Amino acid sequence: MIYSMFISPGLMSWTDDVNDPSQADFTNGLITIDRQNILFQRVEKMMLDSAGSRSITLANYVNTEWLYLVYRVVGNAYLSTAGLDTDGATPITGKLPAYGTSLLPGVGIISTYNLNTLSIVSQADGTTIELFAAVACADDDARYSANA
Amino acid sequence: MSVYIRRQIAVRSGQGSHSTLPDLPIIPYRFNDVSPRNVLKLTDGKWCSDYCTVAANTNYTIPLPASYSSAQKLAWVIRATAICKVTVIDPALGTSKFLIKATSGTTKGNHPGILMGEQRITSINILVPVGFDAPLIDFFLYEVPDLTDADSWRQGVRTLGVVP
Repeated sequence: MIYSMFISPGLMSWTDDVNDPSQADFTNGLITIDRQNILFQRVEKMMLDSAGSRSITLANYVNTEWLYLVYRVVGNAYLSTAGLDTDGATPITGKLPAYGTSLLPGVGIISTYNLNTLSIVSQADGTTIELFAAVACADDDARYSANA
Repeated sequence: MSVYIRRQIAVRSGQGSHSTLPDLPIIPYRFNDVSPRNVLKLTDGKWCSDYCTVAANTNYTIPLPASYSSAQKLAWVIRATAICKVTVIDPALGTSKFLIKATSGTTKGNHPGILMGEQRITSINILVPVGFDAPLIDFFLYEVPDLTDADSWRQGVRTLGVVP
């Protein structure tokens, strides 16, 4: 279930005609939407104790790619990023935290580029993190058309 | 007066009265409550939303909710229609810088970029570098109430909106 749970939101983030959240329920969303704008993807689930971390890697990823990542946290954790500014040369770093409980999990989302490394860092024992990471693309990306 | 809100509705309502943008993504819906009883109660001054266009070579500081204290966690969502840089200052984690990637237009498609998190916030600033397109920015922020406190929730009610 985790697969469809994450894919559907990934899909729906790209659509521009969402009338009702229930329309995106699970795999039906996959079937009815023909342009997903995702070239490669990765889904992970992990439980980390405080200060524990996991590096996130993606197949075929280089820092010029469009990275799209969504993660869900029960506990306390942040996404640590290191990349380059819009000039393509100046280093920038970031920590994007999410916090929540099983009743209302925390959610972090990032749509970015120029990113060199990323990892999940837990800030509390027993933190559960689920994430969907993707290499995304614009509609005119030749690779996307080739694989359509 | 209190506002009762579910997170996915909170995110969607960040669109406000602005009708030209696509509806906000529904990602938080699937990741959060699917039960109508999990409705957060947000009090006045603890949330805010708006939208604006930020020109190239311009900074824009996102206003925080009027009664927000940086001792508490703030759930924040920013959406942009073009590339911009977001600088977030967290009193505990320090300064973070992120680029939001987005496209618009018939060739590349309308794909807004999103940045979302929950953390203590001192300030959030958006910069559009020289030579970049001016993005349309919309945002929704709310202070995360004490999730262990029953008074932070309105249970058993599907109706959303302003309740006296």
